Amino acid sequence: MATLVREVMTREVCELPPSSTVTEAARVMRDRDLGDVVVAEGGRPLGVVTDRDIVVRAVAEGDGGGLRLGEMLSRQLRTVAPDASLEDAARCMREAAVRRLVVVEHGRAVGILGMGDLLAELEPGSTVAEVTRATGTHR
Amino acid sequence: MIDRPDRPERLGDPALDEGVPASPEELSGDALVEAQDILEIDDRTTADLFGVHAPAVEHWRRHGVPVAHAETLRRLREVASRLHSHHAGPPGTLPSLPLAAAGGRTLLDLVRDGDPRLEAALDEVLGIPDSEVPSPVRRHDPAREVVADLMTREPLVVDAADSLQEAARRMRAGDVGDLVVIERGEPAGVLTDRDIVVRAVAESRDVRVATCGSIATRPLLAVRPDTSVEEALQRMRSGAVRRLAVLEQGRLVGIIGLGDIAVECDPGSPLAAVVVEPTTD
Repeated sequence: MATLVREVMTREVCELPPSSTVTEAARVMRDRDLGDVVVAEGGRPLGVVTDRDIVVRAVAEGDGGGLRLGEMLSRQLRTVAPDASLEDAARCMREAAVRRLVVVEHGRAVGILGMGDLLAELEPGSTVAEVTRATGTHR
Repeated sequence: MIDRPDRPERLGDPALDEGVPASPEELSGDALVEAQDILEIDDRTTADLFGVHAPAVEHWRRHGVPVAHAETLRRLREVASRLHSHHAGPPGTLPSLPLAAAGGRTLLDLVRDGDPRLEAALDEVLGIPDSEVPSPVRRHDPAREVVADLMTREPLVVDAADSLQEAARRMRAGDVGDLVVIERGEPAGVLTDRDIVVRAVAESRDVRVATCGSIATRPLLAVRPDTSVEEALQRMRSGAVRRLAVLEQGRLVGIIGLGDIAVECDPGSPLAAVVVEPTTD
């Protein structure tokens, strides 16, 4: 059974610059079946924008899709190291009340650990894990 | 049943936050009440009281409780603490007994409404021998759990003709990530925040004009309150969805998401302590 973040994290990380728009982020989420994008500048992760963020910040305001990701980073980036334990990661998620953590090594984003990844690890053969994987989004 | 009263806005003062807000909508606005009263109450009891997801309660712990709920919460805390000093049930919970002093209503109902019969009802419960007061906490047994145990009651809805902007506002105000879409008075589909993003924003559709009906997932996949959790999971899998509507004789009574089930399934695991955001899944 996996015990470290690096064994469970999603290695596919999409990074977009702060100047990217909500529409661009939405397309990436659609095309690559992701629930979030990392906003980074010069390889340095600045924050995460999730699908929910787009809905409550842009759509609720009637935004035409031009809102820039850099304007949406109202929160402190929550990160975890690849060699952290899953328990530490779970605790970090709980304390920060977030569903995903950016996995950072040497200052660069190397993966994202989402709650779905943790749930799939919980009982790999369980129906819960199957549904989590089958519905395909990192959430 | 279709129209529901507006939920109070939950907006936080960033100056009060020393940490990370769970979602960016807590930016400005009304002050929140300190969450002292919430600390001693069982989360699921509080969730049932206000008809929200249990994780929304966790959110309140962190960021404060909406002013509109403060009085009710104070009442709940007082009742629970008086009960706990006399009964051995789990602290911070209320027994789900129908009470003669209140026409068959439960303590939770009376607290929720500020019913003047609350005092008499409480006397009635305190007068019952401890062994005869049923525990409100069901013994965890996933094989016997049913949808009603885990679902969110009174799910938020939106009309198929409403705009996506309206849907987004309701999701924000209600702190949820899914809405049941009503068409011609009947539950007809489900709309999630992700659906809005990948089916509308990614397509550059005008969210002030695009309708919920055009985006919603149809047909509505539903279960009954007495459907087993295992069967609900099978339905999600076969339908490739993460949430199901809960209908009782055709009437919408709840919504159940994969996240509700997953967190409950293994309370012994450290991962069960992970908060499911009061949003999606």
